[in-house]
Amino acid sequence: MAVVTFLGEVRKAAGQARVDVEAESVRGLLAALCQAVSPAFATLLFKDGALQPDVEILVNGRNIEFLKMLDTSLRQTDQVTIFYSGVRGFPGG
Amino acid sequence: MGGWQGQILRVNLTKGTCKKEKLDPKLARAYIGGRGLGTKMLFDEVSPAVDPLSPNNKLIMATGPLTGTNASTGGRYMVITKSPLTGAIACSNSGGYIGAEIKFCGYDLIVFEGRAKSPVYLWLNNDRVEIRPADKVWGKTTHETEDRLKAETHDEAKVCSIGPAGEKLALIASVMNDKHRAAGRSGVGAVMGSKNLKAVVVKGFQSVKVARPKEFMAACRAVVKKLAESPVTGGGLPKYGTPILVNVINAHGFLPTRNFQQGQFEGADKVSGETIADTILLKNKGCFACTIACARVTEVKEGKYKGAGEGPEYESGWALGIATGVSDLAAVTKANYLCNELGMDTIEAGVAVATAMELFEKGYIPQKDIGRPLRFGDGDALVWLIEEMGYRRGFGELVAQGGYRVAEKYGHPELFMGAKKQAFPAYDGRGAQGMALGYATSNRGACHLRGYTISVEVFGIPQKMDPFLTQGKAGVSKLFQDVTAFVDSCGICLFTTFGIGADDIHPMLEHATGAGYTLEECLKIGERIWNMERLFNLKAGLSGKDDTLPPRILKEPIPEGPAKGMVGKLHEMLPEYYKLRGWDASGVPSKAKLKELALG
Repeated sequence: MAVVTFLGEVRKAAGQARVDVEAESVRGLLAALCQAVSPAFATLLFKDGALQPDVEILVNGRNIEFLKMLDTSLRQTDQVTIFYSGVRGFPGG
Repeated sequence: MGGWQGQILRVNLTKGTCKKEKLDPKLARAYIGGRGLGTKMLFDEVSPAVDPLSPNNKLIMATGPLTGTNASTGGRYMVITKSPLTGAIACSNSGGYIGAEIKFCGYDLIVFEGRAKSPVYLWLNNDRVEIRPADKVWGKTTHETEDRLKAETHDEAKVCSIGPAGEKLALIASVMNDKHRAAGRSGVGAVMGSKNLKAVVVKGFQSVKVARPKEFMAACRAVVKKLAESPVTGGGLPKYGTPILVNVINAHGFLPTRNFQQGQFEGADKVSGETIADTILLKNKGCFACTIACARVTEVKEGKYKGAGEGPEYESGWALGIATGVSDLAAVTKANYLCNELGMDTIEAGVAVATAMELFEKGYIPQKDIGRPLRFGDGDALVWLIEEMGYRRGFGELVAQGGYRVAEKYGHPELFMGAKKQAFPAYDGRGAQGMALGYATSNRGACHLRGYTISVEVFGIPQKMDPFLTQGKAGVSKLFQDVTAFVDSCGICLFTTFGIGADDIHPMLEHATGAGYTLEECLKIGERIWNMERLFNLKAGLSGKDDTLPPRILKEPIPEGPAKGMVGKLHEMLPEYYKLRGWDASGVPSKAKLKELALG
């Protein structure tokens, strides 16, 4: 199972820091998450069926934008990280 | 014109004199203020070959035309001098309230010259100036100094001071203001200490007039709205502060761990923004006129590290925690508080400790030299050594000179992780190639605040670029460096650039000053400042050979995690960067470029 880690506000919304999910692709993983966590969680990730623009997803540390987006395939031991770009980069003090 | 107060205060500490001078409006227009104007004055008045800790070096405190105005975050001031840490130009930037207060006394810049015979502090009481003895506060922490000098002058005065580290000329000493804000980098506190200048105490009652008040306020309101609507400046920063980056950068695999020996830290979550918010965070806080409020007011409520203060911010928590392998948040927070109170740059301090830890673990530093074991992950050793460094006692005397000097003394300078003798901040350039180029070319030595390519390499601001690739990074680095020099010169916080652009800052600057700036000209001024800093460094003896990185970054691949196998590909970016800058192959600006920038 892929290990999913939530950061920042996504962690708060999910109510947990980490969860194991059985899925073959990122698309499948997100669908499973929306079912497992809560219906409200789905609205945080998707709008009109599309991934919200400020949702960042990494698979083994690589942003899915540099992979195959939602069609990125997943293996059993993959590490998935999900966070909002709303808490994205700033020059650290 | 508005924005500028039109006045410079020149303080000669050798003679004990204070002289008010008129600010040259042509110079102000060409360099704006803050970093730009301060650098221009240093360039014109100080030989780049000067011994940084000699009376011939000058220490310039500079504000920008937006400092002290209603522009959001308009509270910045900068400390410009020749760095004793790097031998290069130093410009260290801080928030808080003192920058605005300097403007309220009627000054744009304060220039300190010479060296006082005994410790003194400067008391700016509106339009009156006094150099006073500082014997009573010499040896005291920055917090004690601030409290005592306020009691001696004015309850609401703003204070910047050095701690014991600056007094003892530690090369990593900072200038602290408003207790918790730091002009931290490049050892500017040591220069202040070399002048026997303990503090500057300021209370002013004058206003900062702007050229077109109505238009200026409209521009300010538009910026406030954008900052509030931005998910970063209106959401993430106030809520979690900068430490939210710990887990994000760790997930990417370029969170420098144990002196850059790894790219991921197993204890990252324990010192992350999420954990800080759940445990020690009391509230967030803003600087003068700030509508973002990213500062962390914290308290460790129990245990041996019990205490209260501010931080850790991302960089401080990384340097004192992850770089040293310490995941005990209370110990990291205590080390942060100590750095602030003793007056040391948290980045430089943490990396210096990490350097010493690696040298010890590899057997290059004998335990008898330290007096105790110094292993990665030992929070007690971290806190102990930070205090020793602040007072320059025992082994701490050397470590307070920064990681480069420690590594060099024990015969392994290659184990110092930095550029131009200044420590790297919290991104491993092997995993984020743009940062590798930025560190190598930064005029003040390794720095994340001179061209923050993490914006594009991680967060897609303004567009996403693969952090592992070098293509396009030279252009982005140059652009970010020039824009940052412009922003730093205006007197507002760089964090605004996550919600607004130069095209939003330009109207505020233009309506404040009425100087007739165009946006294009503002960016050209940023480029002018960058090149002037470069010229200072070249005249100080640095060269293109100093635009490099340690062998670990260039040749030693990250051993594990998402960035496994990556090295810094500086050779793929540096020639293009020089070309885009209009510099020759050895990194010297061409005559044509200098002429274009009115520098030659």
